[in-house]
Amino acid sequence: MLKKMISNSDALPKDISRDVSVALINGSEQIKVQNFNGILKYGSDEIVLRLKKQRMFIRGRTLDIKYYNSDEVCICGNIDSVAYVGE
Amino acid sequence: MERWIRFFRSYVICQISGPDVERFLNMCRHRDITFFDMCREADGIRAGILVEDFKRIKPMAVKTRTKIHIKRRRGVRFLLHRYRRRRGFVLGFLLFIVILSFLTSHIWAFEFEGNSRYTDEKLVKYLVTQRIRPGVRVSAISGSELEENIRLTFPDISWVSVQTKGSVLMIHLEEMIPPRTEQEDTRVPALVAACDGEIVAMVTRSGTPVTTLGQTVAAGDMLINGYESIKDDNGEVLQEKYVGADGDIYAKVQEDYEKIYPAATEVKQYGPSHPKYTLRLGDHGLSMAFGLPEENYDVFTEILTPWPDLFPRISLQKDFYRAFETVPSFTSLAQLKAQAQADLQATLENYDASGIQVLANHVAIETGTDSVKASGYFTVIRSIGQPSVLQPDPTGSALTADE
Repeated sequence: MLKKMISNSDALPKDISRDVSVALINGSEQIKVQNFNGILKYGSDEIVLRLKKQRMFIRGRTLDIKYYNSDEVCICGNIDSVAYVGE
Repeated sequence: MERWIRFFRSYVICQISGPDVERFLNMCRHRDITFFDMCREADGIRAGILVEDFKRIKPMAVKTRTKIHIKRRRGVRFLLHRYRRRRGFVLGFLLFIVILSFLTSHIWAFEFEGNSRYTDEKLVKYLVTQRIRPGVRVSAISGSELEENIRLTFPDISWVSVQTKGSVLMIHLEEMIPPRTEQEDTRVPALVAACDGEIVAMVTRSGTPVTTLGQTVAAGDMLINGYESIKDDNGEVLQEKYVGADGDIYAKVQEDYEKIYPAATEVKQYGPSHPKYTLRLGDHGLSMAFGLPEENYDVFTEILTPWPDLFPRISLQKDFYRAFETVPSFTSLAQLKAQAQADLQATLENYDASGIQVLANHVAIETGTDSVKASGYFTVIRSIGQPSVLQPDPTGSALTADE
């Protein structure tokens, strides 16, 4: 309950308090995702990321990963859609 | 910036292929291994990885049966390895960088602009007293302090600007226009004859003429007196006023001409030249010479100063020592006569160029047994007035010594 109270308040950012993934999209050419568990599929037209409780489908054309480390992944290319699918 | 950091740390671009590439990537990610510039290709994934991370991926690759092929190697360590047999070149390049940075951080030349009364050498000597000499660090020079010191030391300088451009210290200054002093009296007390002659033309601009046209004068005779008489209505002289002598006096003058051209003369026959090189740096010099003659020689000097504005001055002096032997030389009388005629013609042309009118040429060229002689005189019309150093008698034509 205490955890719910803290997460609902504005004292802490939501991504830290609720432990959710953060996606930063720049137009339709770049997307940066933080706080994810790993990569499930890497293709030139589809990249699937595994989040805490969901999967993130990024579809497009000529998708490349600019960098991939323990904190963040940066995906570049022509992004057509970003979808969240619950497990 | 990130690319430069990767280059310095060195990285490889490799081809990752296998049945479970995504699992391999996730395992590497959990061990803080970063991949960058990833691209999906037909036979796998192409990605870049730092060298230190590459050394740690083997266990994960073995576990996931992933194959890693290195396609390219980039970075400083690979560059050094590639040119490991070119250490001299690399060291030379580094030495060049060091020398260049050293030279550009010091002042090696001075430039002055706007100075006329104060010469460059004088200003450089002053800078030396301020401990500013070639080779001083740029950071050791305070422009504002130097400007103030120059203004205080040279009160005639009204404005100074000091700036450094690369390794040159540029000083722009403006000198004050000096106040007008009383003009000196340039009037001449009298004009006297420079030589004997008969007056043919006379123009008196100031003073009292003592001679007249047609009068024959001797050298030293007064021609124009610098005093003028002020007379009253009865013609009596009231006072003598000093106005200075000025005028143009032309006289018919006889000028002698004599030149002898001996047939037998001695000429110098030069041998091979022996060079002597002297490299000078400011006041110091280093010489190098081989086999210089000890007597009967002439020296021909050539000085090269490739950077005349650089202090201290660097110059190369080349001295050519040529030993000679005096040998008799005989010239034919015909050649000597031609030489005499050419010299005579040159003399006439000189008169013409100087504006001296030649009335008559009484010069004869005589050929002897062993010489040719040109002798005689010219009758010319020339200006003969010259300033007198003695004070004239105000009432007459006599000259007296200064009191």
